[in-house]
Amino acid sequence: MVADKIYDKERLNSSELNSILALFIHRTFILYQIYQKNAFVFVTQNRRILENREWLEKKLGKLNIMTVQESMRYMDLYAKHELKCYAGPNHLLNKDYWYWNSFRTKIPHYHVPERENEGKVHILEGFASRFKFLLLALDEIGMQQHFPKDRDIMIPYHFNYFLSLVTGIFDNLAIETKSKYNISFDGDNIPSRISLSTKSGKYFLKEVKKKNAILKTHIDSYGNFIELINIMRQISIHREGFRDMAYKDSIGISFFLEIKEQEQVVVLIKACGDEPSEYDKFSRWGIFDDEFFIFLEPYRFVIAVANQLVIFCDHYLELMGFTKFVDSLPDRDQYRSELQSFSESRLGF
Amino acid sequence: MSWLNYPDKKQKLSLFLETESLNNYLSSNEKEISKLLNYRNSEHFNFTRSTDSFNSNIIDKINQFVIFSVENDHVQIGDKNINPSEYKYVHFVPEMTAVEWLQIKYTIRKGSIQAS
Repeated sequence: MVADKIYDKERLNSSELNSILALFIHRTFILYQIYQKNAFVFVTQNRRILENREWLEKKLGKLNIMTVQESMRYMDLYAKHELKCYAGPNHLLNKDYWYWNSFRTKIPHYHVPERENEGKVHILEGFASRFKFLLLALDEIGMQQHFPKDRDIMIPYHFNYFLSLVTGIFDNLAIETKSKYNISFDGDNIPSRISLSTKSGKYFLKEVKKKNAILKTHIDSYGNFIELINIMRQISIHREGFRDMAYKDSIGISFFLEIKEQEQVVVLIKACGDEPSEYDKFSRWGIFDDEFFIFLEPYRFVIAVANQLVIFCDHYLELMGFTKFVDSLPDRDQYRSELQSFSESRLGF
Repeated sequence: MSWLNYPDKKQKLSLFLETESLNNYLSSNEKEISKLLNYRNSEHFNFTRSTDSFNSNIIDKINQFVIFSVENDHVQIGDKNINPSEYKYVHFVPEMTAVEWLQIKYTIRKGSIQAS
């Protein structure tokens, strides 16, 4: 029955048979608690199994069928849930340092000179620490998704903070831009006008274009993205907020945000390049439209946002004239090789 | 590493690797697979790998077990006179085979195919 459904035929070749066989052995290990409770993954790249994983879980119970990529991210969250941050197979870092290295490898053009303690704090130091917190919030949402503990309050809590941090990061870039190019305009004493948003930062962006046209083009090409984040932050921090919903099915309770009433959010997510995901009903940005509701899965959403944010910010700094930090280090510098190793060996986002 | 290395009882995440599709995936994603496998000795993870040899080996044993079980009315596979080469197509059709899988696991671990 299972094999019929997965392969849509009665007779299987040995490869197909082995895949189903492996799945059933995995299931037996779950049923007889050979694995730790909720601490198992079935790692496969078998397209048929992956495409049917939701059906399989409805039929056979929780199996945690994942691709290699998904499995590594899950491993990372599992270890962090156990308060361990792996930088490599046998290399643990403390949490602060793990997220710092994660930031440095994602934004290689962050290149702010070190300063003495009493020196003035550079605005981009605020950018760096916000980015670090954002990466932490993303993982916290992931952990709540997979290893829930007070999920109903903790996911919205981290989700709202995540949105605030992204807008904070945009503001840091805008302030640094104003400072670097000595930009002035009518009303530049009002902080909200120093903004990458086309609405509130209209006059500021006009001046940016005069000073660095390529940078302005870069900001424009992420206009939908910037708008999306600003609107979502407005909703979550200043307006009605997002309605959270618990969705119960045969394999457990899942947590979503309901965004049907926030049409603009849905439109902008699509405009940001959202597309169907390969194996699931949720899109890559976490949207699922089931006719009655439009659900947003927070973890998928924050991963998609963080991916775009990383590309946007690093190129922004490059266009501002920042060079890669590692290029300033000697070839045999220890931190240089540490960052390289981190980039190649860490499991998670 | 053998699939017979059962997950121990320490607080670990168990990963069951379905090797057949992963071997195909390996050809164009060697770095990614290596990265995953490099964690096989890490404190928090436990890998179980269904190698090709294991698969063919266990299918033989399962076929024997299925015959044994049918004789003892343990597994409902229908026609006892079915061609033995077809067992592999029918033995997992009924979804109650979990108990049998477990029995197979224990008996193979003991080095015997006698069902418990």
